[in-house]
Amino acid sequence: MFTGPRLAFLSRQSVSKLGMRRSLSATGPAASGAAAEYAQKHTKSKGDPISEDLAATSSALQTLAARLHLKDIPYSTLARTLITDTSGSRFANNSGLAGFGKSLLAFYTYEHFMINYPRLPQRVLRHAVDVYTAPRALAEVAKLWGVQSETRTPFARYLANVKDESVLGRLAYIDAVEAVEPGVTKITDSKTTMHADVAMATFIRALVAAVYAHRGLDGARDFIHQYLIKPRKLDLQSIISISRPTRELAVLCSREGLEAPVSRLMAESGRYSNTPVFVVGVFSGQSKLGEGQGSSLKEARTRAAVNALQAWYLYSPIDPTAPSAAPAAEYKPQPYVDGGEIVI
Amino acid sequence: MTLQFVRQAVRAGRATLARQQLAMTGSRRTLVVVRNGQTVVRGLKKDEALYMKNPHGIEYPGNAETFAPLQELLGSEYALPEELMLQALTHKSFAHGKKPYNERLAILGKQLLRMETGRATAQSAAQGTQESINGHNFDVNERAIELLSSSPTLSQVCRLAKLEKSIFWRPADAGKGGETTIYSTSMSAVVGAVLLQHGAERAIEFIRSRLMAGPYSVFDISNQLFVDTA
Repeated sequence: MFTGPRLAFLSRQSVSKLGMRRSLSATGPAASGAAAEYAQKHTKSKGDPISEDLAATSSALQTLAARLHLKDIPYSTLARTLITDTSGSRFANNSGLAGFGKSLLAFYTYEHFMINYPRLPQRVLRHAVDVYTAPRALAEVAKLWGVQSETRTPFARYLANVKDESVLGRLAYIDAVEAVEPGVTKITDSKTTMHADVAMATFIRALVAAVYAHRGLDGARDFIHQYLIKPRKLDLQSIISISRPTRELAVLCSREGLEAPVSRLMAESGRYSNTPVFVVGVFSGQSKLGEGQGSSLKEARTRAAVNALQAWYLYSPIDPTAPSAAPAAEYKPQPYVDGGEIVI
Repeated sequence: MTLQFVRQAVRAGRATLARQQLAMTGSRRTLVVVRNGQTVVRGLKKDEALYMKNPHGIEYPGNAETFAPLQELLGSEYALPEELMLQALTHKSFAHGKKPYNERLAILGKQLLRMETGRATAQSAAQGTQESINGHNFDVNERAIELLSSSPTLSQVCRLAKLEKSIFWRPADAGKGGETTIYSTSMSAVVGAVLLQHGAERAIEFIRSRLMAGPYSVFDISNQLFVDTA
């Protein structure tokens, strides 16, 4: 029946762990047959659970919970979001949480931009989403939240007589960038180390997943909007770059069934001086699409076309409703679905 | 030398230049071409009838028969307007992007699929064990979750739902493939279109009822397509 190739993939789980998970889950209720079976088959190995009493003693976790209004989320879950898979801690780590949190974050950020700017070119859209969800961006947020790091190796912690328990509440990872001696930095690239930004990012992603687990989808959505999307402003106009504006505008007009664009000189000053100024408008029939000024006719014409294209791409509907923002009964179909950016 | 003669010479000169350019660029399109040895025109325009049909010979924008397989997959609960269905089934490569295409619908749909497959596995895996967080187990292998919404899986859904013939696209070269990407993009775009038309709640229902259960279940397809080498 299946003609496609059978593709192999690598997974880190061991056979013995698989067997263990099957016997454990035999007692739990099965939600959906196929999904449950698939999930059990691919469950990863994990560490010890963190006890709530132990996590509640961490002042760092209490501060974090108070700062982000996370009182409804158990301290043990918060503690887990701060343990990366490079930490060497005996406790369960955040890698699975982070993986799921990443998909939540990506969906809601893409949705935000697609609904608010339905005509953004695909590359600009991806870049915009990156500005909010890339490790560097998330690391900045985590630093603002006051997350502190614990980058000692398990061996160094052992020598210093620091137990895994006393590290709870700080972001535990082993830094890939290590200052060996003044002027010499050693960068390790392996599975046992992590860059600081990436470690911070896994914490925020894991936290999003934890919020989802306790507050549901809407709770996670609100959290993402409140703490990750709203506080940051992005100047989209500066991101859009257009390589052949006049040509692109001509293609746009022909695609949309408008009259071919014509550039007209609207005002000029000092044509024969060394600082001339030309103002050019680009028109389709009677309607002006854009206006630009420059020190040569060509520059002004190009700027006018860029201006017109930016106005097209940055169109934003008045008061849009995101698909995830309204319950099914109240949702109205999106009034405008764009056909895609202009191909030249 | 009369003025008329000069003009003719210039025209002839231009014509030779253009012919030379044509010869030099070979199969590439040139911007300058001479028709009748007289008129200078810019650009060549292909006849629309040559490219306005998909690899199966179906002419854009299709007919009721073209949309029937997709309508069957959607059912009356998740029905889409015809133009949205057409957009979800049109790839950017078709007609040089002149017709509404599915790129952005696919991005959004893919993100929702990723999220939903992750959610479904987390909810169903080992509930009530001590490591789970409020009934969710997030320790399912990420790669395994990714495979549920991967191109091979989604393109297989597309094939099983018999949507291949309804998709408008242009193959890069004859017999060179590319179907997997095109088919999976269209499937993601269908999810994206349902999301924009019916909202997130209904779109999630659609994924759960049509793509996670029944004949097009991504779980079954992934199990059949991929081998766990661990």
